[in-house]
Amino acid sequence: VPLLLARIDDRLIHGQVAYGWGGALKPTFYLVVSDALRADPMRSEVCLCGVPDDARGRVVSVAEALTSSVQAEIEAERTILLMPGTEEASRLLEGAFPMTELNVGGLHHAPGKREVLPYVFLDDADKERLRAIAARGVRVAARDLPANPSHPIESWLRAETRGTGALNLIPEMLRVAVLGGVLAVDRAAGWSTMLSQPLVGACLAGALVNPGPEWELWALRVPDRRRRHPPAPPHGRVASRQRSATMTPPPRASVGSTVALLGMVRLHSEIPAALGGGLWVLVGVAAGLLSAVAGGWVMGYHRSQSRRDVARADELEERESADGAVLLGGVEGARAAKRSASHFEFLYWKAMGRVFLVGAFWSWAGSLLGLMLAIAVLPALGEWLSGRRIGFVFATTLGAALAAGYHAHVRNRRAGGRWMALGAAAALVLLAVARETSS
Amino acid sequence: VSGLGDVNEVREAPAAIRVRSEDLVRTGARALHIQTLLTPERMQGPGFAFALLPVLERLYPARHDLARAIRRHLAYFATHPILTGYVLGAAARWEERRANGEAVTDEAIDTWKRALASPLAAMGDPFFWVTLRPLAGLVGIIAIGLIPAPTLGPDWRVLLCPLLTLLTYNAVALPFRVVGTHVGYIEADRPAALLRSLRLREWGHALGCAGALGYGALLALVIRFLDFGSIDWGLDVTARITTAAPLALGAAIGWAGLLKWPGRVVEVALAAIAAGLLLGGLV
Repeated sequence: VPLLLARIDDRLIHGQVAYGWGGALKPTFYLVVSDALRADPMRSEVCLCGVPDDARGRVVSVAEALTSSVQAEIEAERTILLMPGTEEASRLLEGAFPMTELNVGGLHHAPGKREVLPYVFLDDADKERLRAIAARGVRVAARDLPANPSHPIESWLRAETRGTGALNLIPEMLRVAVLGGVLAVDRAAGWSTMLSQPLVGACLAGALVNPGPEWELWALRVPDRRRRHPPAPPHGRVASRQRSATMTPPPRASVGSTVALLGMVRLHSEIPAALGGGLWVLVGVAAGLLSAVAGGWVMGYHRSQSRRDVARADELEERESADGAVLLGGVEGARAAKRSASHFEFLYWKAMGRVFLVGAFWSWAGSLLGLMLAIAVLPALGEWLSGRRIGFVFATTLGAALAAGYHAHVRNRRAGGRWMALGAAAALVLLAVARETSS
Repeated sequence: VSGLGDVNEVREAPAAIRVRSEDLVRTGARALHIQTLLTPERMQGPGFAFALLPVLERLYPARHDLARAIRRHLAYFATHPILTGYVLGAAARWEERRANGEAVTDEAIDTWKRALASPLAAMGDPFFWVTLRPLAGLVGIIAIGLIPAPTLGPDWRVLLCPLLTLLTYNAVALPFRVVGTHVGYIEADRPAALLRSLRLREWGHALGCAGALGYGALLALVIRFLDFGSIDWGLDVTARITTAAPLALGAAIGWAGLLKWPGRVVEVALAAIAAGLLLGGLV
């Protein structure tokens, strides 16, 4: 069996390796390559204690790893190869060790090392070695767990240089603008297909901005203000409540998730935030909520333009109907009628384009402002916010969202309670069944 | 129905202009954009005129007739956006009669448009916004909670969830859009029967129960999710409390906040975040 995984991880055999990768790859042999460990029998024994029961482990030096006997051992088993640093990896490759892929799974902080990913800290020598390894045609990629996205070396070694990370934002911001425009049309022009709902909008933004799974997206479900269309009031009188309810700003969830994802992916090295993703998500949610307010202002522009357009349409049709005092018959008359209708049609399509542009601009500007806010606020916030505190925020937000959802959507309280209990029981049973079958 | 011509009167004048099925389809498709020129004064009126253009162009070959018809429909109109097709179809039928010289007055068309619009909005809003929309979201979220994560490769569930949500919602909502104009055209003379045929109340009740079921399932999933599956049930009491307390606090804030200030969801969410920060600072 060819080598299953070659991984640089300064923790060597630990949970991510034994259960994360081990569970997915089902290895039978863990080979640790380290001169220092090979020279220290006690440490190697401790290290091999982490090998799961259904596999065996061995510590070898770099020179031994290059011998044909160890090669044969690797071939005979399902092997995961572990190296504590980039040096071992580059020496193995210099010795013509057969390796096509190299996984960077964990190189943690030490003096002189800079963060490029939450679990990868590199100094200049590391970077040189990794570049040289990649130049040999080995596919180098960072990935802590099989379920998480793989980051090819090109993405993080370039982003790591100060300044270029922000430059990489430009194409993404364009995509954000297009998405914002589409979502605004869905919402404001009456498509009403749910594209613009927070859940869907946030996931779309995630897929567009960062084509890898990001669990943090779930926290970005910014609660949605309910839109209501009350029964039509008597002619000529429009309640003010109705005005505020129907003039909804473009969707904001895409702004929140964009800020969080772009921040995590592109600006991580620029703003070292101790908690990585969690803090970015919090910033993203805040940006989304704030931009909900700003979105109302931007839609104000569209609203005033729409008023003008409607007045123009009135004027147009009035003139046309007066003109028609002279009846044109036949083909010529039909053509004139078509022309008159097309003026109004053009007006309408133009308004549609405006909805798109307003939404695009709003999403773009909201995301940009959110990112700038994060750059300003995050360094100070990072010190105070611990993982525990963020956990509390998530839990209260989730609780509020659940209660708000139930409050708003389930109207028959008594029957609702029964159905809810039934649903909870069903979910627990299903979870238990899923756990049984998977184990 | 008064003012809309005689239903039993069959007039096959040689020059009769009929609305074609394709006109109704085009009208239905245009109804997708019905809110583009939404203003507080006219609401969906301009959109209504825009959507009805294919029908009006068929019926009124003369320029000033067409312009008058457009003007007529530019006036105030508001209903549920997904259900506008029914009114558009009915209006097409009335306009057809009017174009063929029957005694249909402008006022009658306007009055009956409104008469249909109000109950449609009254039934559509609770059904689509309040019941169907959160249910569709729940389907997506619960699916992702129940499907185990793939051990290898990207987590495709992240895309599955919004897709399921979109499918659930539109599987119910799109049929109303597709058949709306035709049903409206056929049933234009029996508005009450038209409204009853939608059966939105019955559907709404069933989907409401399904929604409550979904909230129960979601609550169970959230509690499991907050555990990250790492703590055994009932063993670690402190962990249980530190998990449940912020969740319960958030739920209390959400519930009480919306009872006191209905509709202020953004503010209530910010209050919950602030409470979480405070609680985290104290513990």
